[in-house]
Amino acid sequence: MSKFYIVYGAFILGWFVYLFVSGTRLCLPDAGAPDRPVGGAAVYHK
Amino acid sequence: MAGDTPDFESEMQKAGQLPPASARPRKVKVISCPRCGSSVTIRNPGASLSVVCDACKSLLDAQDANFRILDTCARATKNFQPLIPLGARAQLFGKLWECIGFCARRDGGYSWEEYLLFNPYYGYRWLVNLSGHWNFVRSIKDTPKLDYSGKTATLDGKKYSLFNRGNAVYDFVQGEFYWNVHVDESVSMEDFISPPYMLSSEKSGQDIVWSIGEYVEHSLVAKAFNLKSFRKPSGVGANQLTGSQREFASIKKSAMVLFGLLTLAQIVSFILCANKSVDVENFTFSPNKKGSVNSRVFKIEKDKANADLSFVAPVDNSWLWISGALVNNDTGLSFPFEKSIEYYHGHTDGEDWSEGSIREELGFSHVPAGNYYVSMDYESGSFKDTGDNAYRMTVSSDVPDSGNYFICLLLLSVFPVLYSFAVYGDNVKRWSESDFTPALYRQGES
Repeated sequence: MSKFYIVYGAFILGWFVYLFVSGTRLCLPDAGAPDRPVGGAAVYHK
Repeated sequence: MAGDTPDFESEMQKAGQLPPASARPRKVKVISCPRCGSSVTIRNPGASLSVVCDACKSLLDAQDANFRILDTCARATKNFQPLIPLGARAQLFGKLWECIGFCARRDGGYSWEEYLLFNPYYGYRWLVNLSGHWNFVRSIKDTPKLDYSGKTATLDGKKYSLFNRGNAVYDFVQGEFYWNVHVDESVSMEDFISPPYMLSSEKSGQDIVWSIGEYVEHSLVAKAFNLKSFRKPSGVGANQLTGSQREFASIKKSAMVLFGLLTLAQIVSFILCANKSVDVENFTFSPNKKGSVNSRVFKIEKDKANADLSFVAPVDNSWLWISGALVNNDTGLSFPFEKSIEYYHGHTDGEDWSEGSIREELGFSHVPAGNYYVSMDYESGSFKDTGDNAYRMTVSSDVPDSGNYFICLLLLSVFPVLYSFAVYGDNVKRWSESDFTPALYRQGES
């Protein structure tokens, strides 16, 4: 079990590093879900 | 009549355990029982004080020239059959031992068996069997220190908890012993545990003898003595180190290391995060009206980093709703969002209350580097100030995050927590057999 746990723990540590490098936040402040198209989103500045 | 100890030394020599001492091998002595005339073997003459005749159960004085009868043991009519036959030898804890004595003892409803083991170079040891749980026991000269309540004993810095206190009576004896044993003799005894060890004291008159036992797996004893039929242990032994306890002990060390590494990684991630505000803008809005607005274009430099948007609005018993998107000005890639900023407060039934906040935050993961703007539709409720109001938007990139750390910490804790429950369950079972159960392990008591 201990060996399995070490491998499991190493995987979690690796995953943590991957999350950091990829800029992934598991607990994001909720962005919500717009229920209608955003008028300005389709308008490019350029 | 005397003879050489049958190949005891050669067995030890084979196992590489024979000390280089020039001590002569012990002699086995065979005498005639003064009561029935049967042959009685004394395996450790000189050291054994009493020996029991197998045929008539007479207890003989092994030190007396005429082997006078000490006790007829007539009361020991119950036929006890030792699992380990007298004269059997086995390697235990790296040494060769011979079983030379057996006694059955009881304390109230509990009964157990004790096997006296002997090695001419290492002295005596005991194998104690209670409900299939075995202990390898040796006498100690040190006296453990008892606390004021008598419920904790300390020896060599290790604390032992009182598990059992009672009076032990000999029901049956067989073989030879290094003291004058008497059937029906009662001694007061106490057992203190710190798995896998057990400290035991036996008090007879003013004499107190302390011994320390170490739990031995029943399969190890069966294998060592080549025993075919063997009772499997029932329940959890007083000082048994259960599988869960062993696993928990090894997992605990790994968990501490992993927790440390994860915390270190979290600290490094905090240091490496730029936590950069890429845009701070104020937007005006009119109460009770809808509107649309775009922010200016700003640059997110770090590729695949996270991004945070926060809004602060002067809502006071009112609300501001914003629906929009973080839009890449070059590719059109958008990250939509919807947020309602509400803050209400008042005084009801003599109590102040409040809910909501004037500040709201939302976030996005792995946002590609590039030029961005925020496009928003908004709508608001009534405001005290009926003129134009303003809300502030802050966009941050590469923000330090604690959520990932706590989720990983939770995942790392799963196995240690599960095992700690299993260990707790084992301890509840263990202590259910004791009259001195610590409060932590008491079950079903009010």
